[in-house]
Amino acid sequence: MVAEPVSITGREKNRGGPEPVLSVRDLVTRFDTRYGRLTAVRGVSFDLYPGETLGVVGESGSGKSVTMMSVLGLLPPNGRVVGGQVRLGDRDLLSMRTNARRSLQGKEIATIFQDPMSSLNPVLSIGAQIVESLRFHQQGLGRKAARQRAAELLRIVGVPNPEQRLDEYPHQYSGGMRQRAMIAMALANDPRILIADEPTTALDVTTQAQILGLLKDAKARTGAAAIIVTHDLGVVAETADRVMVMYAGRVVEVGDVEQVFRHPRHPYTHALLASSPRVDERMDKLAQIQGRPPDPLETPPGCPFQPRCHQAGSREICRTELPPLQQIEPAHWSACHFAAERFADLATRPAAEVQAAGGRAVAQDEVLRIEGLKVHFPIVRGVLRRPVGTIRAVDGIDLVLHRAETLGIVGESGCGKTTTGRAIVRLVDPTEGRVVFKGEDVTGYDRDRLRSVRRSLQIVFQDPYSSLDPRMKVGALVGEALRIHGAPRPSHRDRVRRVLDLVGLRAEDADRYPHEFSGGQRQRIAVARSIILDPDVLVLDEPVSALDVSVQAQTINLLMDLQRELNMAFVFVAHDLAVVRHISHRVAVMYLGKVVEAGDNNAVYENPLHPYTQALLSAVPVADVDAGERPRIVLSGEVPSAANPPSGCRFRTRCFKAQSICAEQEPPLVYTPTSEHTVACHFPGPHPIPMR
Amino acid sequence: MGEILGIVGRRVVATVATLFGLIIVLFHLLFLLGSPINLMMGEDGGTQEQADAIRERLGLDQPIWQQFLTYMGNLLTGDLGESWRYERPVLDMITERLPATLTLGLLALLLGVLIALPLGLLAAVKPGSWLDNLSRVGAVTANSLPNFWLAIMLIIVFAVQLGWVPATGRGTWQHLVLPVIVLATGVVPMLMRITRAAMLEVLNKDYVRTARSKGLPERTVLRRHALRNAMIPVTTVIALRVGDLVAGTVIVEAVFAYPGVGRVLAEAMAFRDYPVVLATVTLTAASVLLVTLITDIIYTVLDPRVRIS
Repeated sequence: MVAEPVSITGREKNRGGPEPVLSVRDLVTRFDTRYGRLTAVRGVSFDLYPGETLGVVGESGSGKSVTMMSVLGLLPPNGRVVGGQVRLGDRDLLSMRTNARRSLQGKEIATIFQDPMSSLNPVLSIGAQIVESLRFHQQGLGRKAARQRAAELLRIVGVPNPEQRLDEYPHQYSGGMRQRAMIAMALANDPRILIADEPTTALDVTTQAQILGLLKDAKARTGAAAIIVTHDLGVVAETADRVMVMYAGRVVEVGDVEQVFRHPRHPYTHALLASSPRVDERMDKLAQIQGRPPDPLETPPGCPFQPRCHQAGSREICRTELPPLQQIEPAHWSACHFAAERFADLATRPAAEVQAAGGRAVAQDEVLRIEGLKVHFPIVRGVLRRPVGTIRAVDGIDLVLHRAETLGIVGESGCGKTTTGRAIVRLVDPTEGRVVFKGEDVTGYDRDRLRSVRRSLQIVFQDPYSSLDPRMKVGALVGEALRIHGAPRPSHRDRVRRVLDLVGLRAEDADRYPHEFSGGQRQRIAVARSIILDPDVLVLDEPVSALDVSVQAQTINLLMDLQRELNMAFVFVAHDLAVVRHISHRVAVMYLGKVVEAGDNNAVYENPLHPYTQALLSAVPVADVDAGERPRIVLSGEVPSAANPPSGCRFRTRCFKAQSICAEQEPPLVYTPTSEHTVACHFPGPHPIPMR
Repeated sequence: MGEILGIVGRRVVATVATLFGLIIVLFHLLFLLGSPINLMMGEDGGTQEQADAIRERLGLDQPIWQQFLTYMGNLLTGDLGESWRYERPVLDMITERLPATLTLGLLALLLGVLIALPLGLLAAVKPGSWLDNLSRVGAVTANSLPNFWLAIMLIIVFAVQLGWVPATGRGTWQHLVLPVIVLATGVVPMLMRITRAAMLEVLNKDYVRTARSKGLPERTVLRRHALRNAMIPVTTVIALRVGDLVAGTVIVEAVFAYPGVGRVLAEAMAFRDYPVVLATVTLTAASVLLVTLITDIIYTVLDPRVRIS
């Protein structure tokens, strides 16, 4: 493959700015896979200027991470940079010997990886891992001085009791603390460049807010330039100065973050922005990008985005000629033949339909009611497995679900939302409380009677890769429930075909195996499997969190359409507040096994009364550069253990409103005199600073 | 340190309990094998009175639960009983031979580890290299050779034809050469492949990438970050082999006429000398358990995550 000529000459020609600290030209990276040779990066060029933050966005397979690993020389053994230049100041990294090149890392370029658990060595203490970085690059540094400096670094990144925690191992740190330790390690030698590869993807939203703030401080402190690789447009909008959008191994758009977000000049960026649900406003329907990214093993001529482009129509040039990255305006480049045109809006749903789906007009007949639900798991020790404690995963919640309604359950990891979903379909048994389905108390049902109810209560799981049996054909997977519930045989095939059609798959797909499908398609299979018995209630446990933004939009739209057609009620469990806002009629916010706030979707999102909901909402980064400076409530500390929750209000240990009563009495979930929804707080009320 | 001691204490209790259970099963299994009297009476047989006399002297006329209780009672006082065949304390017979077997087994393990670990590690660091391929072929070959056949071949070549080392017996270090080689051949293939697999897996871990991203030279990355993690599964395999070596020398000791515990066991089995069989097998089991215990302790030192759970 010949890398196309790229004409980013950097800012210096346009603005007379400083020299870039890192300069990449025509980078091409290949992988040898068992399916053949795969070109993951196809001629990428970019500059990084001193002190700036460059956001790199793209979906999985776009080549964003591979580009960074190529720059860092950290490709896996089957990957190889086959062309281009990487210049760090006046040194060409690609022509340097491995060890010489490596010695620049950790000193001039430091890296922060996605998953802080797997990125830290489990058998070395945190202190040892920081000290080794220090002492390798600062030869004169003694053992004691290095240890002191390591403790200081931990203090800088906000790890409490740094002296003691130096000797702890990664598994003794929480997720957020691990990422802090990782950042401390990266800062050890005052690097000039900080590369963060999805630094907050594995973290909860309030932790993400802490870490993003910390990264900003760290940058300000060291004056380093930073590259943040992410799939989250919100993170880019809030942290980056410039943004580079990648698609199919190429840069398709790059420019100042305001310009790109306000007036995207590439149809892909345009569509990506339109297909992300937002936490700060309700959209009627998510625009969706049709199809999926091209197969990296194939290289059709023309623009790689052409088959999915909503702008190109049938223009000849898009199919025959690869568009070069060209300058549209100062500091803004796009690789589209028609970048100068005004892009049409993506198709959205007619207003009338929006009323039916997103409107408030929901029939009020109740299908499911949960009263005082508790799910406790014993903690057992030793050979005799004697119980030494109880994890109170769900600790007394009430929920009501109406026909054709979506109830969103949101909260951070460990809040009990998934357990609640599982208890509804009885994958775990409630410890206490009642589950009432259509007026029938099903809590005490034995296996046989449960089976008859189960066909009306179905669930879709998070991971479409591991939740489908790889040895069963799609038709068998989808039709299995029919067989179990004894539907007449001859009708099976027809029924399977009809359901596959409903979820947007073809009838022929029934004869294929799950591995032949992409993640989004697999989730469609999972949905087909769950709706084939025409259930009244469908529990969706993080159904889109494993999917890319564009595929996520397709799936959400599909679910909303299905609900309208089949009159099903959804329990939508998710950590993504924007997605929940988009799809739900009502929401319940959970914290440590309790519902802290619940009610009509708009009421909760527009007028959150519980401090935790306020903190959650303020922590979500919004993909809008014009959203203005939102006050961010950064929660201190961490979620306490569910085995030993705080007395009174469980949120009080992290609450900015907490007073002595909060420790003594547990606030009930009730309406306030003026509120349209319920809240469990002794001091409910809007946050002193307006949310927007 | 306190938590490590706590773990060790629990493991010791579990070990003793396991050993106890094992003796119960063994004892009853041997009982099922039938009476040894006929064999003891010899070809021409004796009178019924003689047989009854022997039965009474050995306590075989008592019900099995009583025999068992007597045995266990004696065991608790450190009395392993007497050999029916030689009429001397079993303990003496074993302690006489144990050093020979331990020398043989441990030398073989040491040799095996010294060959397998470096080969496995090198193969993992450069997968697909000539060394990797050669060691793979070698492992398969060594694994498919029955050890008694290999032993005989070695005797024919190095003892009989070349006359470099003695063929059988014990006494000088030369006597150990061939049996140690044979036993080591049984250890190397699996240990090498496990080492390679463990190291390969660790080299793909994110934390190795992190170590590289810190700028550490490859040598340090391998030694400090990869090796210790890779050793965790390897330790288990080595430990399992230790148990095998105490028990697994039976055939090799027989071929080389090497006077170790294995020979005692083989002979006792042939003559249904049950107290000796029981004691030797129990001893083997005990050594396996002991090694497992030691491994657990090494584990807690190697892997801090074990200390918590």
